[in-house]
Amino acid sequence: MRHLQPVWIVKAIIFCVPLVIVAWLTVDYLSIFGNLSITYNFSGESARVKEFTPAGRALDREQNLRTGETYQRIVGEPVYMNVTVPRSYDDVSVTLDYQNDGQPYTEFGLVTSEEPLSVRLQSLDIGIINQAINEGWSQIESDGVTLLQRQSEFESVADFVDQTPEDQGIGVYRYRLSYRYTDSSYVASPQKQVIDRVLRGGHEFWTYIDKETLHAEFDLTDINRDFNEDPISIQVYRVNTIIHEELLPDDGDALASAVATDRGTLTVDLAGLEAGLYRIVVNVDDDILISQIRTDQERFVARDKVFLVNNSEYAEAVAGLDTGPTTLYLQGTELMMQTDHTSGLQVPTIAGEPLHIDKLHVPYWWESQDEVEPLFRELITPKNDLLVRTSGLIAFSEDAFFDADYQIEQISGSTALEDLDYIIFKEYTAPVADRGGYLQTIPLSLDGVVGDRKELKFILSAPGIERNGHEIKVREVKFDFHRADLWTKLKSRFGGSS
Amino acid sequence: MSSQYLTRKVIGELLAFTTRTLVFWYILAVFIEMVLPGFVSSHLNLDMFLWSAIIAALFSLLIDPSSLFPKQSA
Repeated sequence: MRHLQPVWIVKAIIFCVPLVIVAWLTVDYLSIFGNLSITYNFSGESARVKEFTPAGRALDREQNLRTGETYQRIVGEPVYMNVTVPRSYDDVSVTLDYQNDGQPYTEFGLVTSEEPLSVRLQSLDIGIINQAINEGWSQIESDGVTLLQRQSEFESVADFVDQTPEDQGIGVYRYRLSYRYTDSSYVASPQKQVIDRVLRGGHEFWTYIDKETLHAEFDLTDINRDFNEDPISIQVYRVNTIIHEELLPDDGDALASAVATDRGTLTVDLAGLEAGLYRIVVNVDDDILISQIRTDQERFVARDKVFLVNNSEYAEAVAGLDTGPTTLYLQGTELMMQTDHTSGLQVPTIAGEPLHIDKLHVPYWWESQDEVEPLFRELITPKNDLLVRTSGLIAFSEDAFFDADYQIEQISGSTALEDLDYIIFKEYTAPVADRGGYLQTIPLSLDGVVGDRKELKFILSAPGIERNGHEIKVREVKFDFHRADLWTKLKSRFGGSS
Repeated sequence: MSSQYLTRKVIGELLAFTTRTLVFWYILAVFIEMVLPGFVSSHLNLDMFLWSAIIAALFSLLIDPSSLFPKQSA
């Protein structure tokens, strides 16, 4: 047997190294093990990851000539990052390496639908929570809920929730605590309240009852504009527990036929409930319209979001649609509005201040400049067809408004730590310090993203960043996509067993 | 033949082979990238292949010019 010459062995190794690399790239591209990892460090163009846009809110890519570090600065918001993947995945973990120059409140997430705009945001950097942790506030965690205390008064999260102090400042983030609201002066009104504004998609309503039946009727319409099934679920919560649920299956039209179907009325009627705050959550996608709400409750408000429909754009879908202006009474100090149709371009006024909405698909932001916040502000939308997002309660009439958050502050960019004695939150972990900046990993489910989930649009939201002159310098973004491995996929497709 | 001459021949030959291999993989990678955007470039810099090939070719020419362009025998 001839001995292989050492030169040929070295040649074989030289040839095989790229072969191994190609094999690794193939495994990665086909997601044979169900994972795909993409890292973008802003050093140049990438086939899969585009830098943050739009220009103006995100500056051009830059390089520190001394250290060679590349980055992109964010000076406005929201900004978007488009990512193209070769397969569709179930979820993604996004790790951002960034420096934060004083921006107190930043979230990162995913655009799940462009029209109407729907985003899924997770916390990226919440300055006030980081500050409390750094100042050594006592920390208790239970079932994913964390309680920070300036003075250690409570031994468990459950104790705090059961005996929430009423004379101390409480900040909440991604946690509902307002159910302790009580009002001894409240007397149930015999009059029915009719909300005759048409609302699109999922909404959450809060109501207060005392010695009365919780009664609300929701008229529903399926406009079938998207390719999907549109099941309807209405859940009633007391504290964080579902006490009642009404369900309605899809109308059978899963195509984007644009043929509207009257889905009838779902009624919530619950007698003998204890006095207090109740949440009614209408879990639907954006194909479902809530055409009218009739309730026996005097105090009945929406929470955080209202998607107003009363516009000629929907005239065919809703017979006899009133396209007149809408007046809302809002509690929030920040507000976002967006329209997706030409007929929705308009000039709404918030507390008399005009806000020009003159572009489609662009979120317009308003932020309070008042030193003393009023109980609520009037928002008048002349043409509707507006997605209105805020942080707080939204009433459809002045009489229906009530301040269920009276002792509790929803944490935002303007929250001051000295006003708080407790912070309760979930779905947030403080970022890790790294190389003069921070590392934060954000898990995001890709479930429900419209389309084939190969063209993804990520969003970074930093309210107030432009007005306050802050900036976020993003140095690297790493995406770790996950889905079932190829073997599991093949087994499920062909129904074979191992 | 001296051992120094042999060493130069071997190193020159290996560098020439490395050059050809890198050029081959570079062309293949460019082609794959046209068909499947992001297949290579999402992880590796394509220019890296080319620059490595150029550097290997220069060293090969420096050490033993005949290795990269061997004379064809009749």
